[in-house]
Amino acid sequence: MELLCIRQWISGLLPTWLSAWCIKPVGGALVRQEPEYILLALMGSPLKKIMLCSSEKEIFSVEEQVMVQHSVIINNMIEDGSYNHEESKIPLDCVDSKTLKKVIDYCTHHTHHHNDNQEDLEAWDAQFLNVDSNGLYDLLMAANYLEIRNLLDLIYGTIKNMIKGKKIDEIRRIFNIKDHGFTPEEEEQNRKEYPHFY
Amino acid sequence: MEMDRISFLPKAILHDILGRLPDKDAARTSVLSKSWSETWFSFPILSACSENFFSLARTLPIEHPLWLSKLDIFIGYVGKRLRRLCDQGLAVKELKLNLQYRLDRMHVSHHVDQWIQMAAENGVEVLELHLAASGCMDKWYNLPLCVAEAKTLTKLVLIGGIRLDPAFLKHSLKFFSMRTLSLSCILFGGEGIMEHFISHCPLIEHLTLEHLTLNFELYTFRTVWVKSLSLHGLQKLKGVDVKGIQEVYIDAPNLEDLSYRALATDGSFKLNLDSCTNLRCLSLCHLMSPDKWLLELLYKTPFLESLMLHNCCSSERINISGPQLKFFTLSHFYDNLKEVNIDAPNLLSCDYMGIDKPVISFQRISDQLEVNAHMHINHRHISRLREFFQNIKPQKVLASLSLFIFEPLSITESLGILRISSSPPSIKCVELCVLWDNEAPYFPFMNWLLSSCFPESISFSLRSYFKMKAFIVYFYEMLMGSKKGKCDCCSRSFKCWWHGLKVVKVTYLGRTYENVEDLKAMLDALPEFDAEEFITFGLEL
Repeated sequence: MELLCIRQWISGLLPTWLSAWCIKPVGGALVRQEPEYILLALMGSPLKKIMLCSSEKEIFSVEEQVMVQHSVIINNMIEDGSYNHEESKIPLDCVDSKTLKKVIDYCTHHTHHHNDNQEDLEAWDAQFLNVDSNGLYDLLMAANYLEIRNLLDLIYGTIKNMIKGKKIDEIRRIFNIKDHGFTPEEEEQNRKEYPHFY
Repeated sequence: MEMDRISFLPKAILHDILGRLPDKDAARTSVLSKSWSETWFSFPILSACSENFFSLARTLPIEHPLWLSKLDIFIGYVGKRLRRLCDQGLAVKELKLNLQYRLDRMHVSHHVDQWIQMAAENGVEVLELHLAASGCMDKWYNLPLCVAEAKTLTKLVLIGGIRLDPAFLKHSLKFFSMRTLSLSCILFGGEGIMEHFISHCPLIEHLTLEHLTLNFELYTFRTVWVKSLSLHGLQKLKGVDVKGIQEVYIDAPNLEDLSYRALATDGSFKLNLDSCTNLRCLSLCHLMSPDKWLLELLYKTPFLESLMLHNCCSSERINISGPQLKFFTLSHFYDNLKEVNIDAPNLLSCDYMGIDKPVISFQRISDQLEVNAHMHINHRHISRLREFFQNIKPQKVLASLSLFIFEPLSITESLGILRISSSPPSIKCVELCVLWDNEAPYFPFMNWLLSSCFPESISFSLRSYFKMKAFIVYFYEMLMGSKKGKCDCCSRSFKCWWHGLKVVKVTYLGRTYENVEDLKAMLDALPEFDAEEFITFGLEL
């Protein structure tokens, strides 16, 4: 968030008696101290929360900083001011509660643990994606909708491995393609033209 | 009952996935099912490499029917995909063709012309054409003029036997969106074509010009290299890669990356970068005696973060300074380098590759500095290896060592009796690529190595070229105590690695190997072709 917005927000919240205290001695003179730093010192850094609403109308409260870091959509909404902290929630009609919870999980972990070493993060990611294929595709759609680049890349990596280096019949099994939709002539033509695929 | 959801995900997502797969795997999805086939034929990225189609027929002569039928399949495949995209009114976003066989012999030039035209008329953004280099002057592929009209083009890459006709000079090239231009090993049919191309790319950000020839004499076989390059007025230019052009003048104040390689034959060069004060990464190769010029350049580029010098110095001393320098790589194979002096207080890593064992000294260092040395060792340099370690000042910065040894027998014969006078320096890791033959004895070699330094881990290359499997098993058994070796450390007051060794952990691709049978089984199961990875022994003393 812009420093200006922070200042306005904090100044708005400060009671007048505290504003009067924003004076400190510097080199013999009394200098007006910026109010936001006083408040920060008093309260610790503000853990502002935002509210996300799933398609099942369930509300999830999550640190703003966490979501803003990962989701381009949410970042844009907050930056252009269309989201009002006091009253509104962000409706996410495309994402159900189970998936939204997982997405929030992912973003929170990666924000709080971004200093961890690569191996630990990768192990956590692998564990995180240990879901059934329905769950995986729900996550994919949610990550795509919210534009969470690193989660998308992660899921793409998994799907890539389902396809890479495998023969057609095996991929059809993995993806549950029961009816491939080709006529018998088309299927035979394919097998003749591209035998190395099969 | 699980359903097939993936085939019905939004096309944009599926195209994203296809874009990340290698070409072969992406092409394979077209026969998975009807809906995947539609996804495939609306996939706007067409990347076709002739190797994938001809690999089986490579040894056959071109007139062989198998070849011709493969050729037909290739032509059919590219044509069909392009036509399907155009019929659906979709843009051909990327067209990448890699044809490793001479087009004239394949009689496909007119097909390639057609394909490029279809792409140019349908919103192509990335056009890459990679052809095999042509030996004969008149067998080059002439790039069709329709490319000049492709206003959506953002990236143009031309590599190999391609010729740019002087007719391009008469065209006003509509390269308004061009951001990346890469021309390698191509022929200009006349003077001024290169400049014409570059001057029509006002928004160009990355420029690559490599080994360009200029020859407008049809029937001689002389190779005339493009001699000079002048870049000015290109405000957005961020990265330039030039190889084989002798005189280069660049006036681009926003330039961040520069890679320059002189013509290898004489190394003479004239590189004027006076206005490029924002340079962040610089890579120089094959420059003859650049010392004074380099020092002046380093002074003019205070924001330089990464510097790479390859075979750039013919004197005995190299002096480097850079207040913001973070990464420095020096590779030098002239066998005359004696000193390297580095004054870079923010340096994070210094990599040295070469035959010499110069004295490397740092004037001011940061806590995170790591020095990585990659060295070729032969028997003449044995004693100098230890000197090299000790000559790095301050010593604690040496982090890793990669050794390439092609004549281990001659090394072990020169070893004689080792006199160790002090505790060897400890370093983080050693990588070994040793070309073993059957006669070289393993033990004296290992003893020599581990007396020269205490590594925390040793990695052995598994590339089949080096034949290291037997040695790896021997080393393992030796460390685990089953083979006894002699070390002459009894009278020493410091730790000897034999007796100090506490724990050995062997890992490869994430798996740990606890006993020699598993290790042998894994090594035997390795594929015949090059396994790029290393197997690592973690040592704790």
